[in-house]
Amino acid sequence: MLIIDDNKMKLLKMRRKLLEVSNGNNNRILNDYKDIILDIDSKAYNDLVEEVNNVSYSNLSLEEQIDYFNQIDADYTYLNELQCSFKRIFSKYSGFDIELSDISVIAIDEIRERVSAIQAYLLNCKNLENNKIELEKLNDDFILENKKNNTIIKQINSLEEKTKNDLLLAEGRIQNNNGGMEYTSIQEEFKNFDIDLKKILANDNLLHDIYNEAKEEYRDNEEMLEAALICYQNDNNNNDVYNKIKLNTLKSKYKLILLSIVLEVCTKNDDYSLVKTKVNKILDLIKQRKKTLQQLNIKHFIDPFDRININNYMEVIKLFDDNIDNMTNLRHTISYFTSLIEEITFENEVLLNKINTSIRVIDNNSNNNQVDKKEEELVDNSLNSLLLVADEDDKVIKIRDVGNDFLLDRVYEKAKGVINRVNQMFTNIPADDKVEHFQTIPELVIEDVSEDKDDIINNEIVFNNDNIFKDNKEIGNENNNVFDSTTDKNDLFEELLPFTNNIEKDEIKVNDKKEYDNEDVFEEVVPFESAPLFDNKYDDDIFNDKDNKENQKKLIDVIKEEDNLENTMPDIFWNDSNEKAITDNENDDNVLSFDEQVEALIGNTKTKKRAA
Amino acid sequence: MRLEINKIVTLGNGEEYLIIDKVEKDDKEYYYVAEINEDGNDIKDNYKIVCATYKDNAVYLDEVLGEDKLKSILPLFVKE
Repeated sequence: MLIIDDNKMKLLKMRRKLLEVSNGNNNRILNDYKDIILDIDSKAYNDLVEEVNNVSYSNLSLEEQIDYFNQIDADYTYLNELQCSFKRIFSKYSGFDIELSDISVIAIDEIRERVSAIQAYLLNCKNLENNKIELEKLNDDFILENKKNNTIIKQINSLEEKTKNDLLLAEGRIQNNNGGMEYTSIQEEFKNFDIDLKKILANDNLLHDIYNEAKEEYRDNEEMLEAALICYQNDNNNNDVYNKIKLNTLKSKYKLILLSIVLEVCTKNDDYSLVKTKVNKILDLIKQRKKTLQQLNIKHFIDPFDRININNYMEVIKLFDDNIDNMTNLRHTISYFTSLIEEITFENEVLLNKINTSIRVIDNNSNNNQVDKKEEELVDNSLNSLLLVADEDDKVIKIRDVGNDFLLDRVYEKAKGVINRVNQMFTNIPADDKVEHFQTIPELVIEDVSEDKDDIINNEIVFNNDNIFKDNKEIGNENNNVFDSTTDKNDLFEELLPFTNNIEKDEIKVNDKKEYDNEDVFEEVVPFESAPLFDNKYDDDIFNDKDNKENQKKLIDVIKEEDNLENTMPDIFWNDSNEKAITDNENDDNVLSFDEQVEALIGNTKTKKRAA
Repeated sequence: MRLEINKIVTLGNGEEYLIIDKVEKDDKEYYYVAEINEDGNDIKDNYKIVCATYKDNAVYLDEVLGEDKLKSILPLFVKE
């Protein structure tokens, strides 16, 4: 969890208030404000990165991962809001943008996606568990309904058996011809047609045979009735024949209805949903029977078929239908939950794969780049930063690892030795020593400058780092001539070369430039007209300018030309001899004293050395 | 682009330097570097102290010049 230093926030608020009330120049407050912002931002950023790096989320449980990632998300959001606020306020008072740590290195989208995935996975797991429980319950219900179905089927079977028995046992009372009441039964009714009900109930084939015969008989009678209807309907003489045929047809119809009822009662269907149809058919046949009985003018006081309780079927059929509906619904629900569970299981497999795939919470490459950028921007946006003029030669264009054949140990040992010795040299030798050397070389003034003027000038024109360095080495070895171009090879000096070169270059650039300006001696060596060639830029050009040689050539030409113009040069150069020139003229105000001349020559030499 | 010890940097002028050591002073990075030879398997006897500056996504190595500056930086590279 990010903790922002309260004191720093208070300081920030104070600076902001100061910015609000300040008029005009508020750079100093802005700088302070900026420093505090950068400090808070940098610490918060580092804390956030540390928070991310310190925990290996793969070792956490999924619930712990959610907490961990949510904390990072919360901290990220907080820091983001903080940065927005900082940027807005800084821009308001400075007109500049401030570049803060780039928290986009935190892969927040991936983190949020991961949290969503884990949450979805855990929710799915919970749902899966609930759905499985529900499915188990549904299966139990289905089993129960199935058992119920079996019971209902047994009930139906039992009812069918009972109906058969009822057919055998059902008794009634019929009106006889005298209007009296006689015993009757279903069996008696079948007996009237010479059919043994018991036999046909027990023998299915017999039943079907008798039924088919009755069917044929009824058809024949019907055909006969149709014929009789045509032949005898209006024939009073044969009316009896017609009526007899009609009666026989009705009787055969009645017989067929009775057999049809028995046939329906005895019909066994595997599909119990057809029981309802069967019962409806029986009821319909009973109605037809009654109608036929009326046609036959047979009256029952008590109809034996009324003893058959067909309504019992209705209750069972309703139970059966309900049971079938329940089972169908349960099947659908079970199928739905099964599909849902499969779907969730598949989804969770995908989520689990996603969760098991590690994510890079911090983009390291991005991080490095951002750090670079941050540093760069901090330099760029610093209100007090110097304008850096980049030299493309110094630009790093490539970074690579060292090769395997690189003897790093040896290199580091050598490099360490060099840095130690150079450091020792810097700490042991005072900077003024070199000046003292210049001042204590008497031989310099004895030489005939005029005779070696060209050489000296040439030496000057050959102006390179080596000469400078070699001169220094000569200084280190007082027995050698300063202008002697040959020097002893010394490993230490060779190693020190770059550093000493740097110092010389720098001295020329920074320190001695002023010295030259103050010393007219330089002008005594170089003709006045040619002096501008060295002026200002000489120190830079002399090292770097590729046109240096051209300048040198020009310089030589000018100098040679000026050789013929003695009146333009100081007298010291154009006297017959230096010895003559180097005389003590202490009392002569117009002529330099001996010491002054020596000083001038030393200065001259120094100039040459410097120039060289 | 990040400078690290043991890495070889190539400058715009084609010179290659091995980064030998690094110190930080006044929020600036200083590197002790040595020029790599043509074969790229050893260093030349050309050592420099450079200061790294970052600009426009690029790193520039500016040589540290001047006795005073070197006097202040060099001891930082000397390890006892």
